[in-house]
Amino acid sequence: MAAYVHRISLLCLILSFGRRNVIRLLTLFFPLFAIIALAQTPAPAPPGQVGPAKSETPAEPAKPAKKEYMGSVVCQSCHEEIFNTMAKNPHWLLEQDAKRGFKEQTCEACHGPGSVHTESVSTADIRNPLRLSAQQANIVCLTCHRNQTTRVGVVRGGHARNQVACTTCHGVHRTQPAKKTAICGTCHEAQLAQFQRPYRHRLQEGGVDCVDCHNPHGRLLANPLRDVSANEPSCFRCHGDKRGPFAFEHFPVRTEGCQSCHEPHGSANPKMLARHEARFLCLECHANTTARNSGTIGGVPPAFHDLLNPRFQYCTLCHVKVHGSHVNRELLR
Amino acid sequence: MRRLWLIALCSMGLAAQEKPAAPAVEVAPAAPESPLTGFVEVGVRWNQGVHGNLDTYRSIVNLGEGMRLLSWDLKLESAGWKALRRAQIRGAGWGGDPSSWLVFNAENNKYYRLLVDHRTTAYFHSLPSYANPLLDRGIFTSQRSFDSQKRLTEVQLDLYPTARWIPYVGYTRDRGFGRGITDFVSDANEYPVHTNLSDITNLFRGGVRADYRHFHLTIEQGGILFRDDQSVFAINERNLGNRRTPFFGQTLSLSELLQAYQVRGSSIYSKGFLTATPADWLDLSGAIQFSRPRNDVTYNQNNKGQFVDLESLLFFNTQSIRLLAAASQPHVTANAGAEIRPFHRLRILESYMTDRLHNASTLEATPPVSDRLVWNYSQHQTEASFEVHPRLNLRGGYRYTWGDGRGRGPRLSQTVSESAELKRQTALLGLAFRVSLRASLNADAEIARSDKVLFRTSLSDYERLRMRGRYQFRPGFLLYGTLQYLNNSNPPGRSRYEFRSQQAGLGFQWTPGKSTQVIGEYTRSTIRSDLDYLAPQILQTQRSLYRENAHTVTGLFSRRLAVGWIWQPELSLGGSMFLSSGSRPASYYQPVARFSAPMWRRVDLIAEYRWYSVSQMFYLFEGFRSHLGFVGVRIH
Repeated sequence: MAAYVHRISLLCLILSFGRRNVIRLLTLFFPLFAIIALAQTPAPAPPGQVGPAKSETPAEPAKPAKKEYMGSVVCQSCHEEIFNTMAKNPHWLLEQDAKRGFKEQTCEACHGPGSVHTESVSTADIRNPLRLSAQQANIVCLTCHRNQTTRVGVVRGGHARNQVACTTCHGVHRTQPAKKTAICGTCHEAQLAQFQRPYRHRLQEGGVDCVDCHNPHGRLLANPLRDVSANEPSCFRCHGDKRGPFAFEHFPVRTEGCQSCHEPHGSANPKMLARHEARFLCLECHANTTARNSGTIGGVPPAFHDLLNPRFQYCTLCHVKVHGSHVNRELLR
Repeated sequence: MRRLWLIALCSMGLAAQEKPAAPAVEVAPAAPESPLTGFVEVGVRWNQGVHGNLDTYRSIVNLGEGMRLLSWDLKLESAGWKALRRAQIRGAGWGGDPSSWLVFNAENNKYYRLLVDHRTTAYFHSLPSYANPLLDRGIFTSQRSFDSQKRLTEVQLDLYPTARWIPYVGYTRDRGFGRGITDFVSDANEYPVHTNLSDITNLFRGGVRADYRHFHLTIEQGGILFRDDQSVFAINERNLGNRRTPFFGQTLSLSELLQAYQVRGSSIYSKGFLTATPADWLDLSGAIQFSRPRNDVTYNQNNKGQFVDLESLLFFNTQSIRLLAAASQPHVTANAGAEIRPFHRLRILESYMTDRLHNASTLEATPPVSDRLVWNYSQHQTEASFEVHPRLNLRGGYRYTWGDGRGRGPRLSQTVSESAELKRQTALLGLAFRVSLRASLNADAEIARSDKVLFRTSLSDYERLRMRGRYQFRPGFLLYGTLQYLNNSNPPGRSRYEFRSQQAGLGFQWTPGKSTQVIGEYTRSTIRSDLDYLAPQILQTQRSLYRENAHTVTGLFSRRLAVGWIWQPELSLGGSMFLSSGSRPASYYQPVARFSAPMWRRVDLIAEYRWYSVSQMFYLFEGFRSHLGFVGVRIH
């Protein structure tokens, strides 16, 4: 019950708080895109389809000819280059495996029956997933790929919520995977720009890849990270010495993760820290101005920490085991 | 091989400034009958000296000189072989580069798939501005310095005995070793000393995937063995530490030290994933993961010198400590989700997630100490996505996040433990607008209000906005941009925390012809953080300010020269530039020029020149600049 009261109160809050900002944004961006829309020639509507995709857009005015499967060899006659690359593609399994229902019809498994297209040679008469909306394009892929591990957590993933289609990242015709960093960078260029900072993970050098840390299909943990060895954040995949468990844990490492102190993509600060000096990072939590009633974790350091003395300006000089200590409560050794 | 050397040496003389062609041009498969295709890039890199701080150069760039196997990608393919239908080996950076990797995979779609991934990373970090209390005395050494290596190897074998059941086994080994400088802390003084690092994690896992038409199930069981043998030592030296004044008339010092950690850990974990499509309008998914890591520690410390015990105010010369500790951390994570499509245009996404972690530990000391950390976190989210028009999709939803944590209290606070709660409500909004095939806009926003948060730096009342747009003017010209905005402010009555960050990026890809390509990106990011804290020595409120105003430019111009000739060299010019002002102003330039030209039928000359330059206004002694050249051949 309390949760529903929370929801209603929040809705009221949003309506009162963000209305002006939301209207400002809408007035900014919609005219821009309306102008762009007018400047465009109308995009061809998704073609009518038969086949497994039940929930696709209703067909265009019916074509007189009945659509039938022609076989991949017919496609080869015009699209030989794609046909040859497909022969080295994992999807080529369909061509040989009768159990999957598309034997010798690999192309039409995704593009739909091609009989009308072979006669008209018109792009309007063949299904092109790149021209479909994300939801419709995904239905084509999910005909075969719906029940897979990658689907776990999709409902919580940002890509699914943002209508990013499978084909946005996956090249269905490719013979080998494209460079993942380049694919991610086309949408996440702000994150890619962070890797141009001096202190960073070695992405450009190939030391790490985006998917080493992130799970693009969805996430099980609260933060957008991959999980390794069951339910640990992907940071521990390489930084195993920080995994613990420690006899004396540093609380935020377990709860808010490494990014509570570090900027994992890149930073202008040493050690990829979120602040220019470590002491500010520490003091922001460990100096409660209202320690008694703030209801937050993090106490006040003892008064001998004279911050005017250089010895106390570098917290990790003494608190060397800042990620957690096996033997010392103050994380000193 | 002799010819390779000859080419490399001759090219050095010809081009004094170039390097390897990183974006390897699409490999034209050799003759179709040849089962082996691919390329190998090999050459020599040289460095014309580092002007400025070498340690900073090594901390940031760390590229050295000498022969390098820059990159390779070889593929072996034959339909006639049963055991090995397809194999591929790829790698880069071998011969001493700080990052090198190798990936090997072999497969036959009917029987198996084997993947081997090996990486080595050199980590060097020694900045005189970081953790150096002696900086004002003109001593440029960091007391938190490391020169270490990471080696990560992963092997996974999937078997296909049937099309539906796929058993698999895997092994991961993570090894870290090296040395560094750290501090040995004793009461009233701390001493910079040497440290040796050595840890190994071995992870074994096995599982099975069941892939049926209406459901998919994965069950995996794994285990971890962990070993950490780091040590800290000092031998026969008089180390006065960082304290500059005598303590009660005594000069504190360290002459000998051996501090040895012997950490032995193990963990078992289990996980299960289930996805199901019981009806066309319903997808279900769920996962449960459980792990139980445990560590046993034997700690030995022997130190000689002049020390003080602050509690008793007694001075002593030798100390010997042996401690035994153990920690166990059961950790369970579960989630369940459903995608419901009641109508053609409507999708409802419902998910619940929980993460529970309890750490219990004991330390066999005098008196014995036990510690406990509890963390329970849950999240429930409902979101609806409605297709207003085939080109316009709107969505809205609600997320409720709650949790509680409890840990040990500060030593001087007179409380055994401290605890906090988290209660946050978030509204979710978004749209996906495909104006046409050429233009699209995605936006999503979160507006959150928190009744309680865990830490003072936790986001409390915040608004987050992310927008992405793409517009293709013409087939060869793509324009794209992003905007990210986050604004947090705590409500009155709580400690003041104002945080605002903004990142806006604009980029383009232009291919005016077959021979020319231009890529450009500009990103501007700002961070503004104001947070009050209590200065411990005066117990007065002060403000922690952090400001960053950064510009990042990345670009690459690439042109194939003399189009139409048989000999078509390719020239690329570009690089990146990072400029920031604020709390730690910095500039980082990485211009690059690349050149490649075919020499013989299967051999290309490749060359690259790079310039690295770092400058920080408040730490000018940490700046450097360096010229790097590379010349080699690409055999394909």
